Amino acid sequence: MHLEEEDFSYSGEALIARPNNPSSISDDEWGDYLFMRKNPKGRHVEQWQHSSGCRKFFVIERNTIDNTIYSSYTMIQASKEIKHETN
Amino acid sequence: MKYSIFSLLKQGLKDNKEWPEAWSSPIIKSRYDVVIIGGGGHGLATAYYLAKEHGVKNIAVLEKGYIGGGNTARNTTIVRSNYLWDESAMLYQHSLDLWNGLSQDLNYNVMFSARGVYNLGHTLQEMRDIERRVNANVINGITAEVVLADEIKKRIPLINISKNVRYPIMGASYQSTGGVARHDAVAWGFARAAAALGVDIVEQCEVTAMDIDNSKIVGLNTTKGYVATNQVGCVAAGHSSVLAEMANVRLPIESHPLQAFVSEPMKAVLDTVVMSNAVHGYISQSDKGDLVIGAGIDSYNSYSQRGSPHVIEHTAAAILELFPAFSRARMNRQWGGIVDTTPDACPIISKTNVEGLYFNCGWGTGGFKATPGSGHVFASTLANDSPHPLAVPFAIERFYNGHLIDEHGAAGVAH
Amino acid sequence: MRRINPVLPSAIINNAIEIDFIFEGQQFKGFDGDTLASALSANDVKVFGYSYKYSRPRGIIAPYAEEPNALVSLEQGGLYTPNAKATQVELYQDLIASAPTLNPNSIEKIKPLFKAFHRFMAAGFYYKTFMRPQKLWMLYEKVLRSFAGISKAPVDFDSEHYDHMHHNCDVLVIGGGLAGLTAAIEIAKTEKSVILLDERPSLGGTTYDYPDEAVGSTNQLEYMNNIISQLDTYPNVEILSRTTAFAFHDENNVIANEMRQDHKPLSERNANLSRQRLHKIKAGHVLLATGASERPIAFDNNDLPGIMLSTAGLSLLNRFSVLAGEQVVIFTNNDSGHTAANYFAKYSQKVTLIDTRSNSPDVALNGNVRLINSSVIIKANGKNSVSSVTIGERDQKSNKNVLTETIDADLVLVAGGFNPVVHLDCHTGSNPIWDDNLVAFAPNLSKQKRSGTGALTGYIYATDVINNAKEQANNIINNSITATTAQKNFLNTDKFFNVESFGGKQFIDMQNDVTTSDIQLAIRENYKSIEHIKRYTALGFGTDQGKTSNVLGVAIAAQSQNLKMSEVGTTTFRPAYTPVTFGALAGQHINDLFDPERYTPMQPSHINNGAIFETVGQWMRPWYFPNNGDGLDGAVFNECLKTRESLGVIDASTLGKIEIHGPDSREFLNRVYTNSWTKLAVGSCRYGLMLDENGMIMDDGVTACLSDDHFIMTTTTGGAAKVYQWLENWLQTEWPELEVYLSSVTDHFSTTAVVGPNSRELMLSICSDIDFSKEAFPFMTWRAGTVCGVSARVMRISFSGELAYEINVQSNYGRFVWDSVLEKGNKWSIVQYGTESMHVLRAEKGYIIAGQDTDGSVSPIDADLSWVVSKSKQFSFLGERSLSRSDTSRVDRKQLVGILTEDPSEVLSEGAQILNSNTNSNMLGHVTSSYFSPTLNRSIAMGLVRDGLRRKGEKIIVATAKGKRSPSTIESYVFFDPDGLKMNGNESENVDG
Repeated sequence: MHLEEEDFSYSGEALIARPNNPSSISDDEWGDYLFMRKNPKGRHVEQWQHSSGCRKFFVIERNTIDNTIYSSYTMIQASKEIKHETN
Repeated sequence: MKYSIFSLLKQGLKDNKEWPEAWSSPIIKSRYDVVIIGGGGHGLATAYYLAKEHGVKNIAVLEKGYIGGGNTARNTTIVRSNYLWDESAMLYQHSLDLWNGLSQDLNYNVMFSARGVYNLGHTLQEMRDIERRVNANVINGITAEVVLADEIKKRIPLINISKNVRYPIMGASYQSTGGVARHDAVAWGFARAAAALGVDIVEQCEVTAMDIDNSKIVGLNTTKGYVATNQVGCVAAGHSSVLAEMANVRLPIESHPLQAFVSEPMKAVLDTVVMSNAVHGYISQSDKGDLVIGAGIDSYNSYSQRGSPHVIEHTAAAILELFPAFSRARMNRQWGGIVDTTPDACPIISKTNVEGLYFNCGWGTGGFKATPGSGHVFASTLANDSPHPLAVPFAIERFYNGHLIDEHGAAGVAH
Repeated sequence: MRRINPVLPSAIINNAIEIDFIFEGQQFKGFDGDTLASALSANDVKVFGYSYKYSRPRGIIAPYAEEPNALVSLEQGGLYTPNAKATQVELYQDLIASAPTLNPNSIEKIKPLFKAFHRFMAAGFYYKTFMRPQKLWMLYEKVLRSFAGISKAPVDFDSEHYDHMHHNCDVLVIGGGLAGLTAAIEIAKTEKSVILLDERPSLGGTTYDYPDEAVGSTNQLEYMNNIISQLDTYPNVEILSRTTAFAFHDENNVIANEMRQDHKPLSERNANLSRQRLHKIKAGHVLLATGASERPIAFDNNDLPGIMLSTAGLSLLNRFSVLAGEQVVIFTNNDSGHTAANYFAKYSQKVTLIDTRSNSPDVALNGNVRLINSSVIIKANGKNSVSSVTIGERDQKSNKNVLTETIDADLVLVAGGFNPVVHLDCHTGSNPIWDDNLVAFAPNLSKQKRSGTGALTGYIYATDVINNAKEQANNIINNSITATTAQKNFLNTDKFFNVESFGGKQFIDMQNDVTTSDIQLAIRENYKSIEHIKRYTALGFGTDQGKTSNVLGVAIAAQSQNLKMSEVGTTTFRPAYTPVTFGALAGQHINDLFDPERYTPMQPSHINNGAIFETVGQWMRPWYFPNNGDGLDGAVFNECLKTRESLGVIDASTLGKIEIHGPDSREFLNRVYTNSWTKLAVGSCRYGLMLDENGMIMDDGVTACLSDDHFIMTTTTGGAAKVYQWLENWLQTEWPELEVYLSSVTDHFSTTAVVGPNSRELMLSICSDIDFSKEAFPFMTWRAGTVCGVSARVMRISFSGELAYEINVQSNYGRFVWDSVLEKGNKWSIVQYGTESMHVLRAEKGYIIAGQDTDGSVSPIDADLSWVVSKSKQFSFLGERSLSRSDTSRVDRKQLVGILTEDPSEVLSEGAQILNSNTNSNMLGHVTSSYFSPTLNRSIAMGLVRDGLRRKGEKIIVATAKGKRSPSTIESYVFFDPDGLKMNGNESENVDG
């Protein structure tokens, strides 16, 4: 089954964990979380939503050079299977 | 050789066989005082002003492809300065001031043509925003005016101001001093003028690593060997994050496809620039007769220099909302650039926590119009190791202290 | 006439049907099946226009889509078509065509005056002059602009329409020549679904041009016709003719444009049928069978009409039965010239074949052909068309040519070798590879699920093509793709691209008048990258996208720099392969279908009641109701006053509504809103403020507690979709531990808000099962009941400062309730009002509109809404942390305040800027909202002012672009009933905040 890209919405780099206790971190740490992004040329782990369908958010790993999609994950799978890198 | 009607005549009589190189291609040296990474318009302008206004002698511009081959070659060539916030308006106005007289300064006709720019408003809120922006511009000494639909129709006969369309045109902000320029010529003109001042322009030279010692930049590894230097200005637009990664510097940049297309050349029929946020499209006609049309930004990160077809289709529909007659015009060619977007749609002109390493990026859809101004303030920032006054608000610190300059309202999509 | 009679058996024309047409005002006749180019060639028309820069006469040079010269305009008005290639225009009865540059009134007529200056107009000359005086550039530019362009632009509304169609298929075959057809039928024999596209009206590719080519005991034309008739029997095959695949996107998404009407006489065009259809095809596998196109060899004056590619000459001859000249000279560097010579020798006594190669191939030549080896055409001679060619002998080593003889010629065919049509393969970012065997750039074909066959991959002769097509088809069937390119030399092509110039002009790109010396000049000036050469000279920028010129340009760049072809490379191939109308790209997404208009269920009533509408997001909302011909101001004055005096009603159905369900709903609300939701009682409502993570106001609205685990949230009209997505995002990606379910119910309920001191009386008259007493139904609560006989949720909330009730009913009862309220309300002189009066009423009361009074740079503190921001919540709500950053927590930020003009009758303009004094142009902020308040009988405004909260009572100047300066004072932005007495129905009562 083939679905159009327009059925989906992009929502940026995936697996950026919100700090557990924002009030305890510095402005710099908060700024890193808020705005700083990896923006890699190559493999990118990113979040999409099936917005014109089931409205589920999910994660894919896509190559930002040629748009090859390597794998996709539900949010739960992503949190378990993709290694968290500390920001 | 100075370009003029006389040199054209003289060289023409010699069958054009004695024109010198516009810029030379020297062999890369092992040490430079300043290295600019990125041979687009901004990088070349930076090098030019460093050499011209700050007397820096030993400068290299390293370009991984050919000069002017990135966004300089891929934009829709619009120049304007009617930005909302003081900080950006001043920066872009500085650039516009430099655009005037740039051909003469560079002795290269960059064809800056002040044919005016209309930013259309289609809703009451857009008209409020237009009023706000025009008022701010005029008080800041920037040329701007509000024009209503009937007057727009008089000036642009083909535009559709019918009330019976989905988003009727209510009015526009108009900047008569804005316009377009010949994009390639801007890169070539800066390259030629910079080379004449001794700047080494090294094409096909990609930076592969940064040599940082004790938080100071000391050199660069490139595909043409190691270069020692203590000052590096990164002006790499969509590739800024790749360079930042080498230095372990974090940037709030996301690189997205931004697409554009041109029609086949036709006789002149549109002598100004028309932009619309609400319908997502902008259009002008080049001196060759092509309708030059810009689309909205594709949503996802990409370095592919191509975007999704639905964006082009939507843009064509948007143009037909404004100019229904162009339905039978034909798209000749479409392409994409890699735009470097920031969270507040404003550039980053900044020192970093690596001494001697500076970034100039994040211009989003505003890059081309800023070319001379961006180069000018960045050169000053590098030469003085301290931000040019106009660059102060654009430091990276704003993403930490919250002092964003949110141009989203003013910039949105259409440039 | 140049038509061969009787018509050749290979020809696709039907000479039983004569077709009349007009070209440049002159009547001509052609036959059914002709193109405009073939019909005009049959009528011995050679000049189709004059060139862009040098105004030289030009004729057709190419067989089909590659044509750079013969550009024509068709028809008039809403059917006007610019820049059509005459070689692609199918002739129809009464076609009207014109050649823009032949028009005696066109600017082209003055171009010859510049002849003396041509030597000063080399590539890029304009970069070197027109700089002084600076002021005059716009004038110079105006002149340059008037010379540019080909056809006039269309200026009338299109009288035809367009549509899009989506397809999925197992295999997409692009190209309906011998290779594509052969492969398609092999694949069709399996169960796979196949779509085959071909740009021309009839399938068969170039088989018509080379009809004698043998396939076993028959010829390729018969073989091909046999396949076509077989293909018709396969239901799993869809064939789309006149359909050009023009863009190839990632994941095998191919876009093709089908010409559905342009070939028909105007009287036969069906208004119900789209003119063109954009096919968006997602294919499991794409087989490219796009063929190869011929390239010229450059020599002096190679642009004279009568000089064309051999394939163009063969197409005229064998496909259209037109012999374009009597004295034929063929200039070749490969075996195809010999094939062409034999075809022409059948009809012409005098065919001269000039071959750059010293050895002749194994092609037996017809006795009428005179072969001259090791020779070149040094230059062509003639005025408006070619009359002779000057031949020289080639020294293979020095590449110098020795002039030998001049031969009369009225038709010169150039066979410079073939370029595989690699364009589509390159659209997704793979570059073609120079192949020394093919003497051409070959397709990369490195992407998954894609392969190529036929001439694209170097197979030319019919038997080879068929074998290769079958092999590739089997590979697809067996899912074992191996990219193959013919290994043997492609037609024994000599790597020869251009003849040493004798001082004349050698054209590479005819449409842009780019010559060999332009390319050499670019390189001399260091524009050496092929992209720089292209951009400096305009090589390949034309409507033909350089199909005949690009490879020649690369060759000259390589020669001039002593580089290999592979080192120079090509420029990037970009869509569109051939130009596509904007109309086709847009399809049906124009006019009414550009973007859906959303209406509330009350819309028919609003229209009946004469509402003027405002666009808010996708919604159409009544802006005001101009009763008795009132303008905006009059209507608003009336609506506001009557509402405050007695009773008003507004359709609030467009506000976003989201149901929030589940045991963790309160905690969820605590996290996404700035205030606390822990204690909100069932039956109560609360105003909520939503921030983005950057701490800035994103949206606001009232949320009601339906039951302990069930809430309904309202959002702004324009923000609904964004807020819904925002909430889902946090819930699904960050807080999966919360058991909360969201549902967008904006369209499920409609809301009639009754507003004003008599609203309670009205409610009592239409609802008998709710106790409307102040004790039983206080402000900021809701009650369930039956309104006008319809089950309803009634909320006592207010966006006006009046006593007000919002009646929420299931959408399909919305209009009934609205109409009933209007009828019942007559007793209290009810007035319906729109968004403008709503804005006035809310501004009087000091309620913000997110998106108007805030713009993404305004925090709740800035908006003077600190009272909504809880400081004691355990969870750090979205955006909270950002509020304490050093800049965000400054106390002198721009803050929302009220602004009153000294002159109470003066209404400030929204967007006016705020200054400290007349002499200081430092802007402090701007006016966000401004109205004349009928109730207060004076103007009121809100604005964002730097350090505004501490400056209440201070004087400021409000300034506009037009120089207006209005002395004003900073005030609180609650202008009306600051104690909320009216909202509570003049009863003292605590407001639930």
